[in-house]
Amino acid sequence: MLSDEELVDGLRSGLAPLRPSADLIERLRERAVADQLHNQGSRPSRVGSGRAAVLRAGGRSASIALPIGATLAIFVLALALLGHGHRPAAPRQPIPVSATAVPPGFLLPTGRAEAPLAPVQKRILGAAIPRTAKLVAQAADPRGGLPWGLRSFRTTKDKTCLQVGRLQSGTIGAIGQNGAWSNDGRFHPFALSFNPPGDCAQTDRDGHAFENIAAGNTLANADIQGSSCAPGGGVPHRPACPQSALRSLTFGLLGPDAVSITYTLDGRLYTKPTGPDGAYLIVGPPMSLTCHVVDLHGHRQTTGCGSGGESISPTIVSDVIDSVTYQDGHVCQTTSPDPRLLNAACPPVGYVAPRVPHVSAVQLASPVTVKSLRLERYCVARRPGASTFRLLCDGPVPDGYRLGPNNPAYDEMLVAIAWTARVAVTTPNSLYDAEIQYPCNQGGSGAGPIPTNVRAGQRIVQHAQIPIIRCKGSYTVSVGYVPNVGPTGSEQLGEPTPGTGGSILVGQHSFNIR
Amino acid sequence: MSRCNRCALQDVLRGVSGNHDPVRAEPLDAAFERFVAAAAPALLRSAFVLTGDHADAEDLLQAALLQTLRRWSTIGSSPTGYAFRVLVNLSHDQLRAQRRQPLRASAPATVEVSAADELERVLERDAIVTAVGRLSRAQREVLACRFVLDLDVAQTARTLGLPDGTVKSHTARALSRMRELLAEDAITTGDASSEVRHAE
Repeated sequence: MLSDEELVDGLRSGLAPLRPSADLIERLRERAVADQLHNQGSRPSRVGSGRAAVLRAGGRSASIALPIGATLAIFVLALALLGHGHRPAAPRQPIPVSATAVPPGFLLPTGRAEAPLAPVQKRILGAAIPRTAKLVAQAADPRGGLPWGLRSFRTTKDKTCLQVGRLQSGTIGAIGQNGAWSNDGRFHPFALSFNPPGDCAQTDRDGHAFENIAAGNTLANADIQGSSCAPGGGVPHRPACPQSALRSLTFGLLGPDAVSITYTLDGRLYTKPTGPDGAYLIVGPPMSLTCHVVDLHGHRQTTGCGSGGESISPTIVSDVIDSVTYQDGHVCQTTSPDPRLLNAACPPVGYVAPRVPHVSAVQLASPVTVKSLRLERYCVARRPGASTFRLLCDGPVPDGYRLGPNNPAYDEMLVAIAWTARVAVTTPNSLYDAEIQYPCNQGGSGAGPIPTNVRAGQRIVQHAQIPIIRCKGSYTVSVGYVPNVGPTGSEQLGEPTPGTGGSILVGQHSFNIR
Repeated sequence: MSRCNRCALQDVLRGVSGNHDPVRAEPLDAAFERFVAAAAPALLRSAFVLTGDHADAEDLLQAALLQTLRRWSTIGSSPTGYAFRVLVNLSHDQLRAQRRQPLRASAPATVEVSAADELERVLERDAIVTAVGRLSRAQREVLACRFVLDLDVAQTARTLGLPDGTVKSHTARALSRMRELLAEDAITTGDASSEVRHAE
């Protein structure tokens, strides 16, 4: 029987995922103006004890009765939105990117701080430790304006996280433009707890992290949350960002032994010293094509290419970087066409693996069971006719979509994978993971690693959405234990297939779909 | 600095500050936007408690905020309470309109249905949220005020226009009823399984 406190906690946490859509303010503005225009043609109506006022917009006039304050509010809001040219209701026009090209020494007015990490991210990554935060690299923007900065910090889960943004007065943040922050043109500092997911790496035994990130198309305002345009395009109801509003960012930590980095930008060769922990930051024009590359224990694997991709790896994956020089004089050339040679030439120099206890497959072995659950929620596009009308979304509801009604029939299903952890996980260096191999050579997918500590003997239930492939063949679920996740931390990357490489097989289960 | 440079600089600063429009009432607009940014998440959750449906809750929130905007200059020190009151009134209208439609009991977008959670906990939370949807309207309104908007008994009483004692009794009965509903509908992961036939 649940106590009152448990009921209330359950209610609060059950409701916590509900968040207003990102364009709420924008829609309110549109509706306010639309209401105003609509009211101009309607009969006068008395509301409260206000007195009549005459509004004039778009060349027409109408009498409505409103409290004087509300009248003023709507009037000034309508004027602000319509501008002097009587344009249709629309969000404020973005400030041109060149507007951020303030002369040296001038500062942008400061606005509200970026929102902190979502609780789920915080649970996986841990809480930021403020005293560990430091600016480790900076770079000029190719179009001028505020420079860019790279900040690193440690977390309570032994992660080293990177934040990249525009730099002002020693702190990094985003600029309110391209739809972000209502285009207020202000500098919005990033809270220390604000961090895009995936930019954290596991810290090694000596306190260093190794992480290389290449983002082909990042917004020039450094805002990743509130933009009104899509950096790579292809997002329903959001126009593709203009090239002038995009940058390519290449940044990371090469470890304490790196001393300099050589890269090519716009046909020119640069060699620059690295910062603490081998930190570097390169800002260039947007790239036309960026490939997603993952590093699976030494084997680089391209998982897809697009115009807005971001790749994360302990080894260098950027086409911009030519070489890295280490303090012992060793130079790794990153121009090798063979990924295996590249990894051999440019391993994470100085990485010290954590001490992990030896665990055998016999110690880990556990039966694995799989149950299916009806997938009851999906998202529908707010405007029918969108390129993708329905999406599965047991996760967050994407922009432009709303949660649809229950629908038990869909061509994917949710499965619950269960097993018993015979060996405890007490540090972020180890984890359990599950992978599903689809029938008929249709590939597979990971269920994601268990990011929390696990007790020995604890029953784990992991779930995953999988496509329903109707063919003669079995799905195979493999559960594995990774004693040491390696230098990446791999929160967002694929783990080695259970039973191969650095993973030890816990158990398998096969099933068919009727 | 040459005149031309100075002009350019002024243009830049005007563009950056966004304050060059003498008509726009920045403080009023900004205050309302600040209010929305701060209060919208809790109001949306409250709307969900009232409606039991995410999409309806979003629509209700938007309508309530628009009404709040229309009265913005006349609202006193508790715009959240005012907006919630509007939510409640609008939800009454909505319920009247939907009286003959079957009751929906969808759960919120449980983004934390992921590796980070054990399924049982997720299902328990969903069950609690679903149970709230089966309470009486008055009980849901009180729960939303007390535990979603975090108003105390007196504030809840003022917002809903109820005596303090009624707020307390609604709260106690709502929690008690939720316990009964959860006991009736104990959800386990196994109950939902039906579609997978094991290979063995």
